[in-house]
Amino acid sequence: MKRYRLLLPALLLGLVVFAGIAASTSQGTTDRTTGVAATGEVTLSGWASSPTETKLLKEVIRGFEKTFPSVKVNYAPISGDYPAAMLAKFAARTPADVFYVDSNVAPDWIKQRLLEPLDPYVAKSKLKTSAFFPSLLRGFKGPDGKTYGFPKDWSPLAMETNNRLLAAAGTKAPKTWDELRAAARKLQGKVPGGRPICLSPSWDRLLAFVYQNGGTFLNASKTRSTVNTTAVRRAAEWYVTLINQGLAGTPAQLGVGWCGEALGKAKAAIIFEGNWVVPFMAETFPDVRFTVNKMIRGKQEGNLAFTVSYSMARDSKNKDAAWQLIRYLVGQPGMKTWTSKGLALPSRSDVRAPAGRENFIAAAPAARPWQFAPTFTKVIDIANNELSAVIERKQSVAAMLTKVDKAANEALR
Amino acid sequence: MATVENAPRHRSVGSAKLREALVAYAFILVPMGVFLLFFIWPLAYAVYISRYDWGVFGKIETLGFENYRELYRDEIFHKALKNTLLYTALVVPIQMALGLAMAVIVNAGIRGKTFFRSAFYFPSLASSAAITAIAIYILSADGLLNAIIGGNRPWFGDSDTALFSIVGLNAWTTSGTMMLFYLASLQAIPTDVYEAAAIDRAGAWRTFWKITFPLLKPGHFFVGVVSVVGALKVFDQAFIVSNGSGGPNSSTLTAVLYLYRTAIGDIRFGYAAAMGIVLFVLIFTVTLVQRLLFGRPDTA
Amino acid sequence: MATVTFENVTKRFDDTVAVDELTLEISDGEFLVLVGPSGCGKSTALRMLAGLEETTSGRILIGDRVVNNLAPGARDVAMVFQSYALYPHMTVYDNLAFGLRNVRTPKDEINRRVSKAAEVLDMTELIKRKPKQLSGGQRQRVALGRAIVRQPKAFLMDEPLSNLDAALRVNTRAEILKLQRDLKVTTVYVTHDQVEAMTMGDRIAVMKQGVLQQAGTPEQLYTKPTNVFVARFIGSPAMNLVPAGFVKGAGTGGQLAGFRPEHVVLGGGNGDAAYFQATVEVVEYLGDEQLVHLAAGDEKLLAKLPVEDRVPTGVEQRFSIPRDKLHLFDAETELAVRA
Repeated sequence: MKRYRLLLPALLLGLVVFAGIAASTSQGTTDRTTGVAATGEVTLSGWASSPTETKLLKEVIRGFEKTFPSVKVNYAPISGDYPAAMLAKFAARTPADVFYVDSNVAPDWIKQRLLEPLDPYVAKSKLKTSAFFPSLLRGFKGPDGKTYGFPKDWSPLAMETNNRLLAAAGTKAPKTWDELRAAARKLQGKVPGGRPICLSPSWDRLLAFVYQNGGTFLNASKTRSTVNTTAVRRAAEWYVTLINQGLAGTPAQLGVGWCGEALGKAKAAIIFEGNWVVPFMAETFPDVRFTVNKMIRGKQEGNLAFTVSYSMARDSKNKDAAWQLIRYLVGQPGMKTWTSKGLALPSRSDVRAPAGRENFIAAAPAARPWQFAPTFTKVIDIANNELSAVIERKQSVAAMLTKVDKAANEALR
Repeated sequence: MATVENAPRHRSVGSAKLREALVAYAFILVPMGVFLLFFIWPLAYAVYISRYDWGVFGKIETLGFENYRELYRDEIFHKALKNTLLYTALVVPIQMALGLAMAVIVNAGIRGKTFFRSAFYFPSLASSAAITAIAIYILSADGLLNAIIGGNRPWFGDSDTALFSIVGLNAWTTSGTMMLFYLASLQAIPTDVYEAAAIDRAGAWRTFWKITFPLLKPGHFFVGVVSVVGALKVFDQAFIVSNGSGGPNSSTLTAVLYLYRTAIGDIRFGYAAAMGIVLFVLIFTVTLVQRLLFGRPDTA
Repeated sequence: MATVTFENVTKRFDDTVAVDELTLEISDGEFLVLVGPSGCGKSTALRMLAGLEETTSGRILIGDRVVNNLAPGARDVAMVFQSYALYPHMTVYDNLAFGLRNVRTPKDEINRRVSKAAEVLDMTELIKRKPKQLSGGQRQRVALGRAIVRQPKAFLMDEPLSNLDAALRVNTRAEILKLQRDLKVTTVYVTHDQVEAMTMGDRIAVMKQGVLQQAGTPEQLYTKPTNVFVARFIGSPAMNLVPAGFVKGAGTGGQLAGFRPEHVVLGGGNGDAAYFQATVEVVEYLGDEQLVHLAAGDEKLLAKLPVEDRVPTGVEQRFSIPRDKLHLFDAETELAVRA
């Protein structure tokens, strides 16, 4: 009896000591770089494009958890409509802590105050952001100049050409607008069942060429539409004329779903698509030999950047841990793993892209993020509809630009 | 003496009636509650927020009727409405005709009638998302349809054919349900009317047009209303085949899809709510008109 | 106008025989009533004649034509249904005109016939109404009108008066008879009511469980029933049936004696009459006669006597029946035995 009377307190004491030691050891893993003790669970959300991607991301997460054992990452990808699911979570104030933000939706999500400004964390952890491509970083800065996300990867447009067709026509890959036209002339008639170039009838391709002609959609401060200007008009006319002269065709005209398919089916010899076309061709048309060339230039270089960031929710319950995760994901080791298979391109200049992607990376300085101002969905719809009408010869480029300009200015009000 | 004896009886009759009424209300309470919570409350709420610029966390700015004024000018909304009305004008007659045809076939008492009934109804049961996904393959530029009829037109990718392809798709999936409604109405026609018509020397065609068709008025009304309301609200297929964009060239942008894009893409819930209210008024009016035109069925 | 002939017509539904070897000839212009209890096959026989049921075997002829394989519309008959089967969505005019329009009768001919029928049936002011705006009796007249305008070879009527109230029934009975006499159309009329049969038919065909029991004029069925069933079915109140031994001077054992209440005489039994003893149980006074309920041993009998006869209750008296009003039936075969 007497023995047992001491046993219980001894056990309790033992437990307390043990708990204290355990707690202190986990607390002891203070990240020297952040200077903050980050613990707990963090939810990471995004969309899952392919099983390969998911595997890569899980690898990165494993690396993170090994480095920071006190933080547990709950990876919860969203299938289906990503923005709809995320908005529901935001409204319920139970969002994921870290998640993808497409540059296209960033202006709206920033305006709605869904994202946490990351500058304090950057300062606290003394992070150097110079390695990131500046144009990509700009895509996630708000009108207040604050940073709301770090780009996890990106892709610009490049010019992909069919080796066989170009060789047969005896022409080299063009580098300028005039060379493009000349190459197309040479290819005319030599692309059976198709046309020399495939051009998408949408502004998410046209805009790149507008930039190449010195035009822009909005002014720098995004307060005014600059789409109804000569530079833009000339670029649009050039684009449309290529189609109308039969030197280029839209996917619908070529009987395909998109220009990548046209390249694969040899219905076009020259297309302008991003990094995503490479794995697509490898998987769907492995026998077609093609080359990724640098994007052509007009009066200047110009390109679009399709990029996605990791951002933090303003309603996140564990911001320190969330920042820890973001930092790792967009840090060198994380990004290296993520981009190792070439499914996406690194958004940092100090992470080498896999082989064959140089011509994409080369576009970084001239690439501008594909985004506009908040509530611009309607404006882009109108712009694309009008462009289709122009291509169908139902209206003039000038009329299109007037309409788009009006819609844009109204949305900016 | 008589009044004393009568009094308790009088009172208990009144309270029995009251109890009966309370029991009745108690039974209605739950379904009524559901109805109020899931139909009336969201409707009222939509009317409320349609007068504001409403974001993720609520009110941003009071706009009064500005949202409605903007809708009036919104040419994309007009396009969406036009698409929706065109879609409805095409899909409703097809669904009704097909549903009626199938009901007549199934009702005719041919061999294998149970099989036909199940076969006709099956498309309505299957998930619309799954069917649409399959349809995308069949109707793609190098899909099954083009393999049969030739050509390489991407049916959902061409702004001239996209909406009509959705019409065909939906007509196929929904006709089965219309068949069931027509079947019920068909079987309500007394057989002796058909016997009288047979003795009156009416052939199959005349019997159908002069007897069956007019006597199906309740069926026409019900199928018509259900068909029209469903068509005006079309969303699933338009969303899936255009990948949420309503393209190509906004040809598959239906009213509800535009509402959705405005809400999710632009995060303008107030504007989207205003759209919803306009759509509600439209559907309500159409249903009312149908009621007036096809209202009273003949009996006896 | 034409004759109607059933030749050994049989109808089988799975295991049940609804009509068994029916053979019947109906002359041109005759009003024949098919009568019998529920399930006797009378409606089935009518429907086979109309073409709404297929015959399992046997032939049906209208005039000289075998019509077994003809569609109802090709037989040139008109039917009045028990439920009227009016076209609910059409006006009275259109209901009547429908059959004529189906064979492209010229418009003025249609108009003429419809107006005439409406006039005959006294429904000219109802011509624009729809069935649901009509009373039961009016709907019945429309059903009749629909048959009349067709000017068919035969009218087929399936219990047309069943859904009317008693007073209306009596009136309509007379109207239908008059109509038939005027139009002289062969009519086959189905009913379960023997009063209707007796009052309307030129001839009556009694059916039981698919088998034709007897076909003849009302008088023949009344005075010379060929079996027990017909004897009991025709005439109201029903014929008394007792073992022959019960009535003195009637037939031998193994026979049944039948006599109608209205032929019972109080007292008598002399000469040619048969007689029996019975006690009066209840007397119903009807004003012009008395209905006397009698009991003798196990037998219960009914007698219709003049009001002058004194029949105190509880008293046993002698009753007699004139020999020519006595019917004898074989107890086993139930067939009539002719003396």
